[in-house]
Amino acid sequence: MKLCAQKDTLALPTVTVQEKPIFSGEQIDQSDEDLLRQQPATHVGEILAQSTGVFVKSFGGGSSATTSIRGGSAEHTRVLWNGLPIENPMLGQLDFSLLPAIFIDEVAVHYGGNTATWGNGAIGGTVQLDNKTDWQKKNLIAQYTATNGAFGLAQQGLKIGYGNEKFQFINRIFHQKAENDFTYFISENLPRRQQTNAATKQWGSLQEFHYKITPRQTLNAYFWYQTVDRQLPPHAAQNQSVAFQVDETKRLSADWQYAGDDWLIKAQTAWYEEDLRYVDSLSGIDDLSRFNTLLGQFTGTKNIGQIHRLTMGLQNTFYQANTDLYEDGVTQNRIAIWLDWKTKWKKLSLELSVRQEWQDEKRLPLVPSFGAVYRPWKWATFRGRVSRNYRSPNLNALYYFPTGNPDLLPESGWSRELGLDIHFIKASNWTGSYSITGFRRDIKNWIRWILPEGSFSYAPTNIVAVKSEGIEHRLDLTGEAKNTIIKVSFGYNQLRSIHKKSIARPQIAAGSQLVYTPKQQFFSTLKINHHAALLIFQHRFTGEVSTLNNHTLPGYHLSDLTLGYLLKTKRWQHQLSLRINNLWNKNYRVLERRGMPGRHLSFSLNTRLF
Amino acid sequence: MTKLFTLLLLLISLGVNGQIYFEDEVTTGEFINDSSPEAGFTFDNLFFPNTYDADFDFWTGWAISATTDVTTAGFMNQYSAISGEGASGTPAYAVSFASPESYITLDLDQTSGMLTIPSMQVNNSTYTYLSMRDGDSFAKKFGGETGNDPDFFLLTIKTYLENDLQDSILFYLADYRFEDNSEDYLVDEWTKIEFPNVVVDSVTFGLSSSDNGMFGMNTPAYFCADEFGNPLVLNVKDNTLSGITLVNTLASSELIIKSDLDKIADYQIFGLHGQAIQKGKINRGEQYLSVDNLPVGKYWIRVQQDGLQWIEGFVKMN
Repeated sequence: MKLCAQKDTLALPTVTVQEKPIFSGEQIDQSDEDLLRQQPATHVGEILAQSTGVFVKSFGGGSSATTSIRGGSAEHTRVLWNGLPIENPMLGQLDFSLLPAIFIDEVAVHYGGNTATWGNGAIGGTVQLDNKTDWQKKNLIAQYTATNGAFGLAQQGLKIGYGNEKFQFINRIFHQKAENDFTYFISENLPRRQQTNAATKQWGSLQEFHYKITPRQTLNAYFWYQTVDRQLPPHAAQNQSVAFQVDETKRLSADWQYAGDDWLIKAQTAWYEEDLRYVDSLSGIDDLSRFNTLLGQFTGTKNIGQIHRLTMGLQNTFYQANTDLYEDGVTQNRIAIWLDWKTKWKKLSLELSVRQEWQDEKRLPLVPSFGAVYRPWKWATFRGRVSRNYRSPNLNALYYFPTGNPDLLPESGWSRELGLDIHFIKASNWTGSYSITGFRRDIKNWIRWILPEGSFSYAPTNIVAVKSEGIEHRLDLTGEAKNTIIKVSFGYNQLRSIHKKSIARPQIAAGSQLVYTPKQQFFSTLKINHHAALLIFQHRFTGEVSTLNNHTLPGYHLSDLTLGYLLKTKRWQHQLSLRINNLWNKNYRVLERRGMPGRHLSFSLNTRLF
Repeated sequence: MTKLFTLLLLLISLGVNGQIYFEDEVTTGEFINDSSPEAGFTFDNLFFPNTYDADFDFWTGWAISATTDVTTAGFMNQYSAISGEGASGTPAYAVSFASPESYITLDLDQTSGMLTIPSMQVNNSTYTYLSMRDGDSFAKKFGGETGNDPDFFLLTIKTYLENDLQDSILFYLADYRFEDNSEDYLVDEWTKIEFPNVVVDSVTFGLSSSDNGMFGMNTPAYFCADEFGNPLVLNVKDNTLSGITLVNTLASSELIIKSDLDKIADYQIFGLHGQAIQKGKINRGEQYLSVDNLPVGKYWIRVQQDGLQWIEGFVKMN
């Protein structure tokens, strides 16, 4: 994890404009690239849970993984893959368990609302998933990972390609299966219960093509295919389940960009098709839902002099979705235009963004965002952001038959945050940084499914108002000695996310914390490299949460340990690692009625050509 | 009450001394829910209201069923009783989705007045029973993870007269509140519920459970009902025999009836449960019927001749 401080200034390049936003008045957790490679995770949800302040709702191997950032719902997390949104428009969210870690090179979490920059739904935060192109790589590109572990886990990943300074062709293939037949704790005087009907089987392929047409022009294309077949286990208060779910995903995207001396234009297009089939023969259910997304985006950036940068963006998104839950197939077209102005004056950097979006013929709220970064000393940076944000209703809320409501309003409100980053002056062999961020967010028209008075069918309604406020701490330390590197990262979040008014049904009391929203989260990583040996110790604490059934799940501590050894030959690097999950064999629950596995092991081999 | 009582003519409906059955509506394996254009079902002057959305197959109220599936879990099998048949082995029964409540009332299109329902039979639906026994995606199995949770599924029956609550009857369709878990039970047989001896004009049925969440009750809100025994309906519209007059509606030892009929007719006196207590013949002219042997209370007298009938209520006094 890196702190936001690394990206907090508006460094305007003198030769070419970089494509990624380089300004931030917000808190960012960025995945440690080495850590990702050294500790292969199954899916992106695991990465987020292990090393960021994102609360991931999941009940172990094979289950779905949805996020809550700063007390937002899963629909308040914007997810971008190479800059383009990939959420399921029917649900307005993404299941992170469907994103194989091997398909992603970089993961960054931008905390807080910033709809003006990131688009619809960026209320709690934004998760950026990127594939990195390394033009220094030449000839053969190869990486193979294999993991075998408890509960029938067998996972293989292969990244193989060929490239030179003009083009790169990379193919990533992923296969994983697991029985997930772990046992879990019920009570002291009862035997552990074994998880059943929890097997998963998935494979996928990501084809990448990168072509540097000229030194200033590049063309990138991606095709992502994935199929996931997973059984859905019974919960702890359910005797059996025979349900299963099959997800099939196709994502095709391409982008072209041209970088001038002081300007950059980028055109992107994407087409996604996703099928979700849910079958429960015990209940006689066999439902298929499908959506298509067609997306086009154009951005242009221009440096004006040495201190100003203007960016303009235009995005058109077309959704088509069908399910038995809709009366007919539905379509939706969204057009968004945004402007962004950045400037830097001595130690002060400013950013002003504004976005206007139309959903079919309906104009959504105009959302501005203003950020400032002030660095009075080399070792300290102050930052802040104020933004208006929104999330328009997902397709299910609009078109679910018969109670979907096409007149639903978008959820909207204001967010503000203030932060301080401190970079420790390098003393002896240690460097470090600390950051603290305080934030507050007020959202009105929060959509809930309720049973209206006199009605017999749940209906989505703009009924809830939520206030979220909290403080986030991050501390990173790196020490180097002869043949030894020690990295330590800590994160601690305090969060109060409450309903502002009472509601009869669902039963919500004014001032109550949102369900599955911990008031406290702590996460830490200790990583020691000594010669060829590697030790990674991760510990996290999740505070108690309330549940949908008006119960409370106690907080829990959880630790994982990875031991690795690196073998290097002239061109190859092999890493063998042993990972002990739930090191202290804790009994804990992330979700009510969902048992979690105790201590379990996995072995990994990671071989790559360098 | 007395005013109302004396104003109404009486009719013992087709179900007198019998019960409401649903066999004429469905055959084994079938169910009826789409009650359109009627918003419900009428049986012997009892109205079972139902709201049904055919497009979405969503409903609340009452359906009539003779489905027999006792093994399939889930709402796709929402019309089956866990016994696979109606009470007393008959094929058909009523299923109520009491979300949030269901009720029965007099069929106001044909009837006005009051009714008594001395008893009815109830049972769990297969959907609810299996959900409580095994749990499902939304609801817990009763007893919870350890088997010790004090769960219950309660049917509350309330009777009303002119919107005034007359009585409240509690019946546990499942009860896991016992210290000894071996006593925990789920109702899987038709069980007779005796009603207090009251006159009513509507009955409501509410379901409650120990398994609740933010969105209300997790346990599927279904129960099955059958054999509404001896419903006695007071009716002014179906009095078809004219020429009879009840002279005294308050009687201590004798009931005085005046008959203008040309020939002898039959009479019967019924108690509140519809049970026949006394019978005899009515001649032309004024008749004195002894009611000395009747306990104090409310009664009905019915006179029949050639398929026509006349009914009125009276009160036996000290």
